[in-house]
Amino acid sequence: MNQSQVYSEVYAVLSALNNDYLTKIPQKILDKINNERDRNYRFHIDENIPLTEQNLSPEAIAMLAALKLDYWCESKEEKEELKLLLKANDKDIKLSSKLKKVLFKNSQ
Amino acid sequence: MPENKNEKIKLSLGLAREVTEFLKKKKLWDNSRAMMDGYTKEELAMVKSITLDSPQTGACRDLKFLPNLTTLTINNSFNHKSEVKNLVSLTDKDMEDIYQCKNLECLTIRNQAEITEIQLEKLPKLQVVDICNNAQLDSLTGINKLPDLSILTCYGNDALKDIPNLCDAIKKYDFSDLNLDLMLFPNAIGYNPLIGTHDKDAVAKLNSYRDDYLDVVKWTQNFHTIDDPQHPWKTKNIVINQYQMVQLHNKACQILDQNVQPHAGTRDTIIAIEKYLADNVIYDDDSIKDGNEHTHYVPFHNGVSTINGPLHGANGAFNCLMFGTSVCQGYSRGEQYLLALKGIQSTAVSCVGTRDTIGISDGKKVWDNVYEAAAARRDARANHSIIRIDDYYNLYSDPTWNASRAKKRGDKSLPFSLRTKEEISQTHTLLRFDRHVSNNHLKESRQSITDSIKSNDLFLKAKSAEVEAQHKQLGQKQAPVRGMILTGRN
Repeated sequence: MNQSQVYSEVYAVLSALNNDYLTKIPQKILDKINNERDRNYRFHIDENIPLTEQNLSPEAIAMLAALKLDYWCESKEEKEELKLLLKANDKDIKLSSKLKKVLFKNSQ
Repeated sequence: MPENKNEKIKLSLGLAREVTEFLKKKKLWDNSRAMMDGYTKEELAMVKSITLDSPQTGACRDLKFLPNLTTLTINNSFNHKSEVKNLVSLTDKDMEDIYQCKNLECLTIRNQAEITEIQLEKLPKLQVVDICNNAQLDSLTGINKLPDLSILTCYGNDALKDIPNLCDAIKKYDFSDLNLDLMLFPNAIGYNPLIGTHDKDAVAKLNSYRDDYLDVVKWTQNFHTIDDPQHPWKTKNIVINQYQMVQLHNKACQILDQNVQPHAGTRDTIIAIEKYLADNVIYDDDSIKDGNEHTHYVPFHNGVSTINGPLHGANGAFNCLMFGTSVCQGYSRGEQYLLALKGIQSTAVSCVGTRDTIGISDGKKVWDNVYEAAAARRDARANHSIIRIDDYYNLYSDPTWNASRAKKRGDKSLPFSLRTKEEISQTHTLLRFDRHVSNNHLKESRQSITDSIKSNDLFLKAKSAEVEAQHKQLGQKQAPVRGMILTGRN
């Protein structure tokens, strides 16, 4: 997977998001994603299925995490939760059920 | 057709009334006669002009008995865009009857909400064509097959996004009067939204009329107003000339060039345009104060003001894009023009600027609600205009309220952009022409994507190093790491 394909996948996800998510990202970043995406690489997003089931590349997921950290987290706590999860992933720590509860509270 | 010369032909009531009036004017009518007794062939052959006001469907059935009819005017005193009541209208079936009048030279069809298609090629002798405010007309063909065409008036048909071969007709014919909807300008100059080119000959032809003393070429947008209590649904026209139209078009191209990425997708294009309007257009409060009639005024000297732009222009695309001032309909139309240049079709939608409590746009509700909506609209004086993006799931945006939020509360998140029917109905009451729109399912779909981002389970396998790497790719600043000594370069 080259970088321009990563941009294409992220672009497809952004296109399917509510625009209050989109407007939080600076125009410069949006322009970069749009300009550098591979126009021959079509990644289809099915809006009826959660993103976890759509075979996004690890790089695209990482870029979405970066965007979430910088622009979409609504509180310090939310940001810390995501950072904690990334650290746990780095060390391949299996999450305790208590920690899972903390990390995924937004989805429950 | 009766064989006997003296046999009388009976006509439908509306047509009989018109023929009788015609004969009375010619002093050929004996008041002792009854309209429904019928007319002789000779009498009917004399009739050259007919006006049918608010005709019922079927009213044109007997036009075939008028062999020398050259002028036909179909009108309705009320504008069908209003919601006053279920007004009568001719239908596509009635158009088949009109096509039988092969000698027609002048045809006017106004305010007929049920007509969706007009085939001008079936009336090849037409010289004057006037097709206006037919709310659901979406097809007008044969404009280039009328060799004698010299007067063409066509505006306010909101569903008519383009006229096939209009550009050819403009190059081919010499018009003595050409009054088209402003939204048809890209179509008239053969504008290609994909590559941004236009037909230079068509532009040259349109510009060539500018030398005349009178403006032969006019570009019109009209609107109805609730200002006059006696005629609450009266329409007013915003008219600009060819020179102003070119100015407007060029300004629109410039806005798009500066604000929309060349290869942006549909959604990005819409958002970029709505962002531009929110940042650059202010609401023209002065234009709707007493007596200003939706016209933009600028202070001149000693309390005297001068008119800027066209009369009633606050409701039009010209004021919105050229002066950066307009009322709600101007915002919608400004956006509509910008979207059209990007090949994205949309419709300026009339609505009431309050939460929908009566479900007028809900196809399941009863028709009587039309009266309630009209009453709500009059009482609340909350007549409003938003935009429906036909080419993007029929989603709705309210550029006026987006701008207002941005300016008054500093909220630049465009909260009224790309809303489903259900979402927009939380704050707006859509009217009956939006009954066909069905896009509420998108709300749930988008929600599932949003939830995937909001919850962290998408990032269950993401590693810090990968996130850092993508951070760098985006050119974002690195998040400070605890213990790190910050320098100017961080």
